[in-house]
Formats: sequence, C-alpha cells, structure tokens
Amino acid sequence: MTIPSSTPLLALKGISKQYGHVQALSGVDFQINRNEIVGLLGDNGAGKSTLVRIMSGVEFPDSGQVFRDGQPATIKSRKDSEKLGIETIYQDSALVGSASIMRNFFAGRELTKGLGLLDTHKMNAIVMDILVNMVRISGINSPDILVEALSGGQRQAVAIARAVYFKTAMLLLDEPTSALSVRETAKLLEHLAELKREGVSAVFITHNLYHAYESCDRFTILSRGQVIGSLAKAETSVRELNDLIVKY
Amino acid sequence: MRQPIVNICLFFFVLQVICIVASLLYPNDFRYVSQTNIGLLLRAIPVLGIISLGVGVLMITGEYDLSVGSVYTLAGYSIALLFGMGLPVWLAVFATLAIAAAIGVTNGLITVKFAIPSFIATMGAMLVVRGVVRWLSEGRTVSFKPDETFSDLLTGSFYGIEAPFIWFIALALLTGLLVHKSKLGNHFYLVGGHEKTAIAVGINSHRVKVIAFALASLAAAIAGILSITRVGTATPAQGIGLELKAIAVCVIGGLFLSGGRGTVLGIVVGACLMYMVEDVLLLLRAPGFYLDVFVGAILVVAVILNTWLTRKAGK
Amino acid sequence: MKKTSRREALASMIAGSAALVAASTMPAGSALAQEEKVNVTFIIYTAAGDPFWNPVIQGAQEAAKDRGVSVDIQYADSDPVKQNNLIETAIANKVQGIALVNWLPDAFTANIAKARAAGIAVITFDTDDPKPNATESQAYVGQDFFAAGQRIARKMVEAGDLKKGDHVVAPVEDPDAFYGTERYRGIKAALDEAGITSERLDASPTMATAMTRISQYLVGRPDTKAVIGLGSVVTEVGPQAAAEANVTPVIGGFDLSPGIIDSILSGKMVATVDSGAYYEGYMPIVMLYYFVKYGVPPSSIPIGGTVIDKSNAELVKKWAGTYR
Repeated sequence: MTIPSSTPLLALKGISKQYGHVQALSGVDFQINRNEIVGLLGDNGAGKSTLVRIMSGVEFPDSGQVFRDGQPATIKSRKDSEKLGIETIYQDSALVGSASIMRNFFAGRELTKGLGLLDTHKMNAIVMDILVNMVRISGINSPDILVEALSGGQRQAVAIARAVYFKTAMLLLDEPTSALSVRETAKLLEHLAELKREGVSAVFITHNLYHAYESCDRFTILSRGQVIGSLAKAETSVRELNDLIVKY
Repeated sequence: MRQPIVNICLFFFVLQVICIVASLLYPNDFRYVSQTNIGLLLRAIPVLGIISLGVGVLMITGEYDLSVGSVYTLAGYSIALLFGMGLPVWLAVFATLAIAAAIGVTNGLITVKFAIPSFIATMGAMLVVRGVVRWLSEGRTVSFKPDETFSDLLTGSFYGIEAPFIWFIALALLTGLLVHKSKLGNHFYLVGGHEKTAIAVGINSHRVKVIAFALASLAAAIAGILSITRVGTATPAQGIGLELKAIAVCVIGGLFLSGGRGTVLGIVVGACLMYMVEDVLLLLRAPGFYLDVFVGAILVVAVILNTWLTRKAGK
Repeated sequence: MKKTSRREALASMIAGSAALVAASTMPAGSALAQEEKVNVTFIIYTAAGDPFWNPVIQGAQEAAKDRGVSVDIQYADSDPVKQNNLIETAIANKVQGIALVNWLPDAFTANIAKARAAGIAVITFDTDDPKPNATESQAYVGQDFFAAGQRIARKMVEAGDLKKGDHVVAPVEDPDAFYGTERYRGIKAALDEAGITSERLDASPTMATAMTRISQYLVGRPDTKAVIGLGSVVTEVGPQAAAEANVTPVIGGFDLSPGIIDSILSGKMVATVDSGAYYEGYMPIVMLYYFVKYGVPPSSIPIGGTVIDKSNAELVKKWAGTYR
C-alpha cells in the first residue's frame, strides 16, 4: 500500500491536556506534512512546549488522537515516539555534558558486539564520519571530547547529526536558538535547510519570528492552549504573524 | 575531563617512588619494601577496595549507599550462621550474595519509586540491617572456619600474591568492563550525568539505578565474606564507618559526588592510596593513637591537590 | 460486662489462694516477687551487639529471675545525651532502681542525683567516676581499671622477660573509651617503673582493620616486645596481627572471648584479665532488689581483675560467653 504524499506524516486531532486547574491545551489540531518545516509559534504559556512533550512521549494527553501516515497511533513513551520517527532537541539540548560526543550520539541506541559490550570502534568511526561529512561542524576533531566542552551551536549540531544518522522523520526543535550566538543561529538555520533536503520534516518552536519566517514553510500559532491560526508562508508576513500573536 | 585520573595516578606513582627509594635507602627504619609489609597491604586493601568498587558504580549514577558497612557485617554473619547450620559453603556464599542483592534492590526501589534522596533511604537501611545483625547475633561474635580449599581460594596466595588482592583486581577488571565497555555502563554515566536527558533518549533510569544499588550491596557482601574468611570471626560492631570511607576513596579516585564521572582505575588507585597513607604513617612511627588526625588531613590535602591540578589543566 | 466474668473471677480466686498456700511453704522472697515485681532499668552504655556484655546480661537476667525483678535492658549507643535521656525516662516511669555504667565522668552526675531525689536506687557497674564519692550512686560493681592495668603489665613483663628500654604497644578499639584510658594509665605506671616505653594505637573496632593496623605498627616498630590489647576486639586479633607482621612479641590484653581463650590455650597469647562480667550484671540487680524491698544498703564490690593464663583458662573456656 502506498501512502499518498498529501497524507500528513503526523496528525494530532483534538488534543487536550490539563495540569491541575490549568488547561494547557484544549482541542488542539496539529499536523506535520512531508518535507516541511512547521513553525510553532505563540507567546509564553501558549502551550507550545506541552505539545512538544506530548509528541515526544514525555507527556500523555488527557484526550485526542494521533495519526502516523493516516493510521491511528499512540505515543505513551519515548520508545513509542522513537518508533514513529520523532526526535526532539530540547532547549538545553538533549545531551549529557559529562559524557563524550560519541556516548551522547549513541545514548540509548548503542551498537554492541553482543553480550552488551560496546562496539566503540565502530561507533567512533560513524560519529566522526557524520560530523565531518554531513553536518560539517568546525572544531571537532575527536569523538571523545566531552559535550560540556562544546559551544552551544556545536551541541545543537551534534544533536542534529544524531537525528540525521538515525533516519528521523520528524525533528522537534524546542527553542533551539535561545542560547546561541548570531553566527551559531545562522549555522543552525542552514542545518535545518539541509535536513529538509535530506527529507526530514521539522517543527521549529521559537519566539523569534524572523528566524521562523526565514526557515519555515508553514506556521501554526497557539494562544492559551488553542490553535488560532495555521498559515502557509506564501500567504503571510512577519508583520501579520506578529499581529496575530499580540492580538490574542 | 580525563584529567582527575591522570593526576591521581601521577600522585600515586610519585608517592610510590618516594617510598620505595626511602625504603631502599633506610631499610631498617622504613620497611616499606619488605615482603611482610607488601603482603599486609595486599591483604588489607581488598576489603575497602571491593566495597568502593560497588559504591563507585553507584556514585557514577548519582546515588549513595550508606548501608554498605552494615551489609558488610551482615554478610559475615549470614555466611557463618548458614555454614554453621550445615549448608555447603558455596551455597552459603550464594545465599549471602542473594540476600545482599535483595537489600540493594530494595534500597534502589525505595529511592526511585518514592523519589527520596538515596542518602536517607540507605541511611534507613544502614540502621535496619545493623539491627538485624544484632538480632541475629544476640550480641555474640560468630566464627567461620570453612574447609581449606575454600579459605585458600579466598585468602591464600598464588605465586606469592595474596588471593584477596587477586580477587580485588579481578573484580576491578570486571567492573571496568561493565562500566567503561558495556551498554549498561554507558547508561550509568548518562543517568548520573543528567537523568532527564537520559530519560529523554529512552533510558530506563529507574532500572539502571536499581541495578547499581544491587551491585553496591553485592560488593559489600563479597568484602564481608573475604573479611570473615581471613579473620575467622565477625563482631556485630564491625564495619561502622566503612560507608563513608568508601565514598572518600571514590572522591580521591576522581569520582564526583554529583555523579556522571569517574573511572574504575581511579577507585582502585584511591583505595590503594587510602591504605598506603595509613601504612606509611605507621611505618614512619607517627603516634598511632592519633592516627586519624593525620589520615584525615592527608585525605583532604589529596583531594584539594587533585581538584587544583584538574582546574589548572582545564584552563 | 461479659457473661464469663464471674467464672474468671472465681478462677483467679482459686489461683490466688493456691499461691498463698504455696507462699507459706516457700521463702518469702519468691512470694513477694510473684505479687509485686521490683522494676529496674539496666543501662548498657554501648550500642547493642558488643559480645562483652553477654555474661553481664546473662547475670542481670538470672538475678532478675532469681529475685523477681522486672529488668528493662537499654543501650545508650555510646552517646551521653542518649544515656541521660534513658535515665530521665526511667525516672519518669517511676522505676524503683537504675543500674548504669558511669563511663564519662561528670556526664551523669546530675541525673543520678535527680533519680536519688526521686527515691530511686542507683548502682553503677563496669565503669565509675574515678573520683571517690563524685556521684550519689550508692555502690559500684566492677573492675578497678587502673589496678587491672598494672596487673596485666607486670604479668607481661614477667612472661616476655621485658627489660629496661624495651617497647610495648597497647591497641584500643576506640581512642575515647574510658576503660582504655584508665587501663592504659595502669599499664603505663607499671611499665614506667621498669623503664619500659609504651604507646597506645587507635586500631578501630572492625576486626580486619584492627588487625591490619596492629600489623602495620609492628612492621614499623619491629623492636616492639609486647602487645597489650586494651579491649576484647584488639586483644583477640593480636596473635594473628603479629603472625602477619612476621614478628613474635608476647601478647596479652583484657576481657574474655572464645577466640582469646583459644589463643591462651594454644600458647599464642600469654594472658588476659577477667572483668568479672557476670557479677557486673548479677550483683547490681540483687542489691537493688534487697534495697528496694528491705532497705539493705548497697555496697561497692571490686570484681574481676583476675589474670587468666594457661593455668586457669580451661575452666573459663567451659563457661565462656555465658558466665565468663
């Protein structure tokens, strides 16, 4: 069975989530299409991070449905979201500072030689190959460098390289530029464009409308837990997006 | 950040060279390089060393175990009483290790399921297990006199090297393999380094921690068995304070109290250093009654030196 | 009221009269015991578990059974604050007698006085304030540590043929232990007289550690002619420690344990000093009982301090851990 390319990669329908008395999300519809970068926009507390956590399996919605390629799916754990091809890069990046690049790269998905023993040699070779040839990060010459010794941009690059290697279908980037310098941000936006060429879709969560406008194909705007608009890049402008967010 | 281990090894090496040279220059006043003293060290280091291996693995995952001193004592009683009841010695060993593992798993489950600091959970276990020892022992010492095959295997010597030390090195190699070369070992570091991230990449941090707790308890029990086989007797009051000494050994060896860092080699060197300090002080005829003053001061200096050198190297 | 109550009352009356009949044929003490037991709190100063206390507890319990005393054994965990709390609890519970170890001079003086003021009988055992009449405790049952120290030191000098200029080490489990300080004072006094040098060693209560520390000391000072353990753990590991250090000093110490007796019988150890532990438990309970019942004043009893060597160790072995 072939899936028509118009079927969304991931579609969420009527997602609601409540924390105590706070309605974080109410009846949210959200979708990620093939070969698309979606900008998830909204002010603080709009529910962007909650939606990301639900898609990455860290939180479970109170109600709503999830479809992968049009088929119903459940995301109850990180393992589930991994199976659906979802990878998340958090604000503080999903890396452990005190561990090496290689050990972070393969964290939870280590290659072994059997008996649970690590195939360090092979993993090192893969990491270096990806870092040097695909993501092209400057200044990294060994897979044994500890992540805490890297700059914010280099860390993001390692996380993105990991997503590329593990053939992620959808990359969720939660405020990836918040801790980056201007140059590093530019580099990151370049990586995003590259990812798209590799066939990876992405959700880009940010405050910075200019970054979003530059790199995204479509925008979904959240306010107080509800979707207040979903616009394609061609039909909108930075000013209109800004007005939408401010107005609500 | 490979630095702490390099420093501590260097420190250890320099100290060894100084001691050996001094001992060769003054063979009658400083008998460091005498067969007797080396034999003593090789028998003495393994007890604290093996406990530290377990405590160290747990510290890498970011947790502590204050109950190892009590488990060490319980293991002595357990094997002596079970053997005394007529169980074959190997079965007594197996049962003792199983009991220790169960205590470790309980410590781990209480810590992760109720999300309380392991410092408190295991302090509870420390008191409970010591209480059980009192109840089992009724305050009495027990003796353990297994057949010679068994005691030779644990406390004899092979080609002039003391068996306890061979066991210690074998266990250290095994621990090194687990911690540095295995998938589970990688998870120990990731969970200890940043637990949230480890969970985000799909690592079951609870399972990882419970395993580490079990290993810490097991190591303490192995040390307890080695110790009673050597001495032949266990007293209920023994083992108090070993838990803190083991943590000290790990810190000297370059492990972090916050978890996520450290090497097995560091733990081994830390344990050797700890005993060397005591040994050298006594050989130098430091006042034995006030030994703790010197030991305490030297330990703090060692850690300060290590931290300082590490920072300097990091610049 | 339940229906059975009358039958129960009848039964207890029959039992009561039976007891009366029995009492008339028995010594008065037992009859009184059955009617109304004397309540005594018995405070051991360490944590539970030190085997040294086994004969003491046995003595206290046998005395309690013999005399009809209800004895509550408590442990102070070597903590003066806890021990004071235990004394205060006993006063609050209105017990009739307290037996305690006065192991820290001046620490318990106030509460002993408070107990006496509340009409409670107090006897100290095992260790007492070295100043005469320092507390209001009515009597002390235990070893004279200083004298015992002198005794074992002289025995060791004789057995090891120690001469002027020789050296002796005295390991101890806990450097703060009062028994260690006092016994060592006695040892040092006797050795100084003979011109022999001596030093204490902090060996720890963990057997394996204590053994290693003593061995290391002996490697460092191979001229050491004698090892005198100040307590039971360090005394017990003495012979093996010397063997591991490959030296042959004479070995002796304090207290009794199966291991110590075996060492004496096999000649690896010269002698040890008996603490009279059984009486430490038995006598205070008996004296408290007679004081509470009949006002017989308690009186101090110096016990223990007997040197045990090869000549009398066999008998000790027979009753080790229970009566010795």
